[in-house]
Amino acid sequence: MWSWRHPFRKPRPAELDNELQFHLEKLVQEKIAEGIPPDEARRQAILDFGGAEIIKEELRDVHRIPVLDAISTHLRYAFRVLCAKPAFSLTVIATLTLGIGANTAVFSAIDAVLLRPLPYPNADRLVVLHEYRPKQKRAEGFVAPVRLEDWNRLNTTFQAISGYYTEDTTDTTRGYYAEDASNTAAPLPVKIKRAFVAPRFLQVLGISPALGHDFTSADEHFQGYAPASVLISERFWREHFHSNPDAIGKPLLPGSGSATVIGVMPAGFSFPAEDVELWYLVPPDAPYARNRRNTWYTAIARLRPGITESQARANLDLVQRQLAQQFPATDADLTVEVQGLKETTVGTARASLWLLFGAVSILLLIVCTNVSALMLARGMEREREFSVRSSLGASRFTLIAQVLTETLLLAICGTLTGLAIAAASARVLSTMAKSIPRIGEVGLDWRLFLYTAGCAVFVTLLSGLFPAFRASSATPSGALSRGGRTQVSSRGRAQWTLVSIQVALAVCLLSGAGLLLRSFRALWQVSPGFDASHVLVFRVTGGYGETADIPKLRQSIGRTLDAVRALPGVQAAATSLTRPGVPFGYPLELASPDSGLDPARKIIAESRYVSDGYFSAMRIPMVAGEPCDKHSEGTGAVVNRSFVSTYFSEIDPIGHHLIVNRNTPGAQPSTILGVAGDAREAGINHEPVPTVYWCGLTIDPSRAYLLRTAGDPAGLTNAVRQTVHSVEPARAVYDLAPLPSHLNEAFAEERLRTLLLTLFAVTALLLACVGLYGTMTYFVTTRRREIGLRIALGARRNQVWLRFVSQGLIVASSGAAVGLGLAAWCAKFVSGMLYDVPANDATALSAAVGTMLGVALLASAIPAIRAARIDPMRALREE
Amino acid sequence: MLILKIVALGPVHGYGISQRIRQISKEVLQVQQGSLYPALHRLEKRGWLEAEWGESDNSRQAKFYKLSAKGRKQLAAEHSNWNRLSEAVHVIMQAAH
Repeated sequence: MWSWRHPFRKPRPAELDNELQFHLEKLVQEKIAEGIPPDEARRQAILDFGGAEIIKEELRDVHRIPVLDAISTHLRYAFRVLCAKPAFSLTVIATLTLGIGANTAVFSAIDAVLLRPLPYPNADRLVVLHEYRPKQKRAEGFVAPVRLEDWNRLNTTFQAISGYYTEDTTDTTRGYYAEDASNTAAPLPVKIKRAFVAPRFLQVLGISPALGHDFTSADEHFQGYAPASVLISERFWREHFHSNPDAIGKPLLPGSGSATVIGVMPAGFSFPAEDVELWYLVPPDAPYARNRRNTWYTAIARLRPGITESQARANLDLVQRQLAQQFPATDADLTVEVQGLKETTVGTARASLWLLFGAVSILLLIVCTNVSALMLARGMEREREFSVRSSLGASRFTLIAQVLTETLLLAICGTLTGLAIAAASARVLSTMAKSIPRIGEVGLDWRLFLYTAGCAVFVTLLSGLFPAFRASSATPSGALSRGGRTQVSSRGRAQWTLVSIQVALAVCLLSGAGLLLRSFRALWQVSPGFDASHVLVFRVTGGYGETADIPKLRQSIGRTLDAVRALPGVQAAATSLTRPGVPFGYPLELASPDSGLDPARKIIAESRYVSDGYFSAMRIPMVAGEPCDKHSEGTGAVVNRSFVSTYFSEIDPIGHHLIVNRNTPGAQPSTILGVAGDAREAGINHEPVPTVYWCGLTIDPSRAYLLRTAGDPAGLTNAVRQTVHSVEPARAVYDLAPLPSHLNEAFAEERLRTLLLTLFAVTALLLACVGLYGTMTYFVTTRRREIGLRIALGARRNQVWLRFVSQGLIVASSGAAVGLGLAAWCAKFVSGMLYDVPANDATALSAAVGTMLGVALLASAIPAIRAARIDPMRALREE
Repeated sequence: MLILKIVALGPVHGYGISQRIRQISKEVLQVQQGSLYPALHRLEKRGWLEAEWGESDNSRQAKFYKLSAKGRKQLAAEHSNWNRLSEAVHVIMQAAH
């Protein structure tokens, strides 16, 4: 049997010996056979054979891979060189760790959030569909169940279309209309998020239950208001069924009328939201799902292989035109928007992440420049060594390779520690950046490793190449003859250039951070038109099914409101569908038939649904007329000042009627009761827009309760929970926090990117200063003799000091000037994120330059003072 | 090519190869050990030859070389190349007469 041999296997020395020895023996035998005496035969054979050692050497050469040999020599030498100067090596490694660690950490977030596909098979074919009303220029967002079924049936570009909506409830047992008090075993009811889905939900996602089965066709037919089947999350299965496989087929809760558990979802399945525990199917033929005006689904769909989003959009538009002919009253003005699911999920985080990535990349550039300067300084110290080596015959290439290998070794060390830091910071990042979607998925994967490896190579080339060329240009005669007495002023230029590059990059980062900081401050200094302090906000669970019985729901809300109003320390209380100041848009098209306005002119206004007492609780002043009260529930409305100036500038709006054009539950005309001051309802970062407050209208079971308190709102949280529990024992209180912290949370992404960018900018500032300080110190040290001589010849110490400081400042200011130009170019990336601050804001830019120059002055003053104190006698005697 | 051709005749050790080249070429060609062994090792590294330690006729351990499938292809290619070349040379020499 002939064995397969690895091509890179090196033969053992003994094998070579044996092989050649055998040949020799044969030769000897041959000679003996010719009749030559054995001793003489051996002598002749050896002569014939030639030098066995030479052959062996040649054979070894055959098996040697020359590049690898050279690399291992370089590596060994580099290792020795770096160990010889541990302080230098550690400084470089620490600097690189900082740069690569920060870079990798941000890249890991980009990788998890932007690059990695969503955790579903062929996730790039998943899209979200919106109803879009081109005339109103806004996406309707939600899709009517009937229309969704029509789209699914008539299209030719999707494998399947489905949809979902979620609600926060305590009701785990029954369906849409039931109000259930059975889950009160816990001291306080617990909020559960459940999803109601259209048929084909799991089919679209390409997921099947880990245990049990998907909904069957029987579930798709209406059999009564209580759904028969439910899919449960893995967490729910663990907590309520102790991970018992027998759970399949059991009722969700003991007792009659409960849905049957048909399947358990895979662990980690978190669509449409992280905390969804239960999935129910809404039968498309249910009576409440058949109205074409009732839109509630967020539609998701899976494209057929090879179909693009625009093809799908064109196809759905065609389908929708067909439907428009069939149902002109409801479907006429609709088109369909198609957007990638990942796109929708990631949202605004994309811009923030790339901004941070740009920042850490600049930081990495500063690090590289810093290391480059260090290596350059080190290369000058080693000039003698390189000269000796080159005079002993080392080629220029060898010297370059040597320096690059040293840099590579340092870069690898820096990368490994950087990777460790990035891995550690992933945890911190994911808790700090909860507002960024998918951030929990941050982790190490091949892309990250590839990236850091690329980083290491990039760093090596960028920070090593220049010093390497410098070092390799050492001539044998030059440095050796000059010895240590050389004046290096001619070489200083390269180092000063590197320092001013660092300063420029740092100024660029500082300006960016300054702009974001200014914008963030402006955001919190804006007067929102309402008073957010001393307001406690909470929500109470409720199901959409409850909107079928509006009077009952209204009673329930009133009951809760009265109970919390009676709490000591509560000055006023009201409800609103949304939390004021937290970004949320709900524009509707309105008409005011009795006001004599041009009916062709569209009235579009933000809609807010508020209870009586809202304006006094939020301290929004009334400009004219009356606010909402108990009697105006469902019949009255209040408009804001912008609304009046935009649409009712010529007539008094009070007393006229407003009606929502579409047949929503607010269809009956409401009388305008009064005009309120402008408030930043739709987000404190948006200018006030025309807004209509509908009094007491109830279109959604979930609402925010707003309590104005006399003292610290946080002190009331327990009392609120207990009070709500006493009047609504089956409902859970959630999102309970003072309004300012709701606002904080809403702008967490802004806060995070401002914080991180500032952190990176400060790091950049420090690095640039360390670079300046280090270069200045080196400069002073190498010129000790010259300075000593000058002082001995009568130079005043002030002059010496001034000379060095002005040198430092000249370098820093030229860097800062370039940095300003760079910042002006970079500003276009942040301009979209700025609130009330222009991208060329003079305050931010001059602050950046000022800080930089101030710190630069400090960094060059210390070595300069040291230079001025040089004792001429000692300096001159040293050599 | 010569080595490949010799080895193609059957597993053979280094000494055997040098002997056969000498015998077959009727002493016209002699391969020095100094170039034979590096050549053999190179061919082995390229995967054209396979090698294994085996017992020789006088029961000593010797390294036997054998043609691999890749080597067989290479030999065929080189053989046809050589034929073309020698034919061309032959024709030119004829024409020069």
